[in-house]
Amino acid sequence: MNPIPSQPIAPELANDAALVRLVVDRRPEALAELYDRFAPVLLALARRVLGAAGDAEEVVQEVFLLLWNRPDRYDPGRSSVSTWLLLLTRSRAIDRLRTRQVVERTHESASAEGWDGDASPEGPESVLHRERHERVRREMANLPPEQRQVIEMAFYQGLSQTEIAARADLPLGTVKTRTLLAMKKLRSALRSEIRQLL
Amino acid sequence: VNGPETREDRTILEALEALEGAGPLAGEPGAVARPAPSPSEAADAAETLARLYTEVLGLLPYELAPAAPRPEARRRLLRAISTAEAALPSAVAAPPAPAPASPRRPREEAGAAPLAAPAPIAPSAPIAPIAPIAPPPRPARRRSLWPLTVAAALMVALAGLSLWLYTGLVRQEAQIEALRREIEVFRSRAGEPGAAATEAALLRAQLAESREKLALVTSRAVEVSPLRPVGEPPVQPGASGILFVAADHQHWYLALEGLRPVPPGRVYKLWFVADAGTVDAGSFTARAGEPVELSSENMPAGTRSAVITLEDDPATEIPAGPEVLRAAAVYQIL
Repeated sequence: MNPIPSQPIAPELANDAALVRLVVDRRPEALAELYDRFAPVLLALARRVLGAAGDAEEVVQEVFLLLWNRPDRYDPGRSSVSTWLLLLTRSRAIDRLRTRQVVERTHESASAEGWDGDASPEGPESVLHRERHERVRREMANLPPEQRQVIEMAFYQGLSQTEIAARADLPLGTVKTRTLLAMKKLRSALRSEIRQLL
Repeated sequence: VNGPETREDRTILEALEALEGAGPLAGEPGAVARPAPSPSEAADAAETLARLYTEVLGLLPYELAPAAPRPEARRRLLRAISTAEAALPSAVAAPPAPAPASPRRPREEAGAAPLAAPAPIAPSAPIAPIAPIAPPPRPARRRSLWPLTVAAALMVALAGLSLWLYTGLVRQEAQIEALRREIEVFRSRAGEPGAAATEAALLRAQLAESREKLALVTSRAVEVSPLRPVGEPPVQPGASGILFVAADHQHWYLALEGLRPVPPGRVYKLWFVADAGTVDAGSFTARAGEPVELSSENMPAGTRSAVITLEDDPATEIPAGPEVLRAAAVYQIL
């Protein structure tokens, strides 16, 4: 028997931030809805960072447990729910990566195998997420390879700009410039997606 | 994914529209031609830009093909929260409400509206009870600061640069215009090539120098480092400065304000803290109420900070006098 009294909600009517408010009210069905919306992309991100499905799933569990236990940590003035959950997942995954101290090996393994996520037959739940996936993938592919490289090293491996410069054998100034140029291009190219998030 | 906009969201969207539609931002080519923003406008723009970049980071994982979690994982999560909830008295089960929108801007405080509550309908999937499983162990955490660092650096650097553009660049443009007019005067004296030509050449050199400074502080990827008073209490609390370092890490320009005039025989000295140690970067004095500007095409390798001291001996090779100003963090402008 489920010990938590739950009331039905309207997933298609509830925006992400409203669902977080329902989590504050201890509504497990709101957490379930957020899980259904975001777990696939969160899991893809955790796998991209960690390169191991077992660890990645645990990271996603951690993030949703944190959301349940401390929904007050979400500040709508700072980011969308999607961004908050994804950056939280990234931080947790990178923490695990550093703990295991196999940063380079796992990343190279994931890259060498050309791992592109474990797309499920069902695919993402919403058309919106599918369109967002296509759009972001296209814009990332449009970045010059050298700019994409620094963004990926910083975001998925959690490397500082100094560490990237050392690993890529580049001057620090070059790394900074490439990072900033890439971020600026993405900012411009993904404007409509950002508006949807807001 | 998100539904109707809140009032706060609309404010952000309007700010985004303004940012995108207003042409180049501070620090980009062409920004000097626009009227400098007020400090509050600059702070708003910086905050909005930081939010914008945070959302860009949040979009990056969408490039990955989504991965369906195992159904057991969903059940395990929901069972875990059911178990935890059942173990808690209802009076203490509810956590505090989500943090309000960023309180730094009064406009947001006034405009922040509660998030819309959804209308009830059936949940997407039933929450089935399963055997309790403890939540997965959490590893020792070390929070990654990269996204926050990017956002904070953008905010502070843009705000700082805008303020300095507001004062310093207007002054520099006026100086350039004055120099240009003086050169024209000297050119008009075609029959007196001697002293007039020499002075005109000097003015041209000054003009070129001013243009270089202008180009430096408005260039992309310039690094900005504010200098703040040192000491408890500060030796000179009214003094401040800002150091601009070009992307080549060689050209730099330092603007100082509020330094007290030095007593006779004493000088201010600028030191760069670099790989080779503390390097003497020059001596200077100050006049009451007048800014001090220093620049050079060379900076020691690996310079990490800058310090200004007040020295009794102008020839000293190591800082011996009291520190007046010290560079804090380094921020980078797009």
